[in-house]
Amino acid sequence: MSDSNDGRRKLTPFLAHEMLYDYVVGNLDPERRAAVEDFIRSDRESQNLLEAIRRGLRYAERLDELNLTPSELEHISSAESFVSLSKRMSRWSEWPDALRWSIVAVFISTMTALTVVTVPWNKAARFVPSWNLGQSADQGEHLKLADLSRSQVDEEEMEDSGSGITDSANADAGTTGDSSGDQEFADSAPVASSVTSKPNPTPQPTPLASQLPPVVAMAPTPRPQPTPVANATPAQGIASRSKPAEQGVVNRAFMSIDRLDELSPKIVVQIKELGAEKAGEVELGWKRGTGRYFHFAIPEANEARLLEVLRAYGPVRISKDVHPRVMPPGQLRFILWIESSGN
Amino acid sequence: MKLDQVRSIALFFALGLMDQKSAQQAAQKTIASLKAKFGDRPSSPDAALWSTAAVLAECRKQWKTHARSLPGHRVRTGDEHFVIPSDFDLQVWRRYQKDAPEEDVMATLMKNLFHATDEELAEGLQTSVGTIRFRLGKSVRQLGLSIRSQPKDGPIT
Repeated sequence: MSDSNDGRRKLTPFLAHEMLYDYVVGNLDPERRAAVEDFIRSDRESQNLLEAIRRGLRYAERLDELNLTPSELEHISSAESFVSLSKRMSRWSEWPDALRWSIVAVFISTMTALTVVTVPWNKAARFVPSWNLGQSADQGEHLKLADLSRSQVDEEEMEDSGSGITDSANADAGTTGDSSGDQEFADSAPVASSVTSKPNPTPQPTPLASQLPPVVAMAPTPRPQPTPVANATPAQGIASRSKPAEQGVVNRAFMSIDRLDELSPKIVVQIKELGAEKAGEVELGWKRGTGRYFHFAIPEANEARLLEVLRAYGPVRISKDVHPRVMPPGQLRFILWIESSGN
Repeated sequence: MKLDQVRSIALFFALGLMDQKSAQQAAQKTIASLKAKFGDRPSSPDAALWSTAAVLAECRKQWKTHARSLPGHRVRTGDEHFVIPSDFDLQVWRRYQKDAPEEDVMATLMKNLFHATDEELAEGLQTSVGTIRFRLGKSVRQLGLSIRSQPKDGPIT
């Protein structure tokens, strides 16, 4: 820049050319603007450059009139990066309805399954006394029976018609699957009335061992039949913990013969001759349904003879089951079920 | 995010990089990054943060990334990818874009596609307002000279 004769600043060609853009877009102050205009009037090159800048500006402004094809714009506008996608998907409200409901369903199912698995339901009855009154008759009977001493509960032991003995196909499985060996029922035995009339229904986990009649420990039959704790009543569980090694055995026999009504008295006589004494409340050869029930104790020495007698009437299937009741030495307990094979 | 912002970003990379694949990727990343930072819904309270300066800064960042990785044999963006006015000659831009410094090209496109002020350009490009004006002046002069030098029977712009 140089000074003019009248004191105003005069532009050099370089500065004037550099200021042409600002002159066109209006960025110069009035004094500079006047100086540039003076210079342009006298400089041909500046005039050409000024025209080029104006053309360039018009062209650049028209760049905004261009456009991309709609498909390309659509493709670009739908862009999602991992960050934006994860940020958007991190909002629960943005998740698809089906996914949200599925997660809720899976969560509820998981919580239910965990509750069922982790809560010790078999012990829950101990802590909620009211449960004992509201339980089903069968479970209630187990709890009540467990509270009674063994001397009071001279239980009837027989097979239920559905428990497997009357079903020859399931006889073995039915007799060996139950850890107690048989089912104690109270509806037909006198003990049932004493059980149901007991004033205090709340089970007291009294150790059974202290109330059992004098029994002699007998080595259990070496038959590994672990008693599942889950199937035992609470009182049984306590008793088994106090005397874990003391276990008895019940012998189960099953037969199917013709003319049962005619032969049953003979069988009763024959087994009595071998020293058999009834072990339950009902008489030997008690009739139930289409079968006869024999629950007796017999000297161990006559076991082989007993089997010979029975086999004379037909094939006999025998199994030995672990049972809490321990018999005196030299005595065996038998539960014989004879089913009528005739129609 | 408004559609005209998407269009401006897409056009910025298409004209600036003149490579279809790179331009598409750069535009997508820019839009995705802006969505991640500020949200993309009109109801979003962050929508106001979609300032021109923020968009320009993100465009510059992606430009730098993709301009470096442009392949040697670029797939040049053909005219078929644009909707061009009949009296507009894209060849002028092609020549300019090929020869001009990328900072000048960037400033010219941002000024005219995003209608940014010089201050917004300076903030987005992280430079001074004077530098921006210098680049813009240089660019339009070069563009104007390029138009004058084209054959006389070519389209008049």
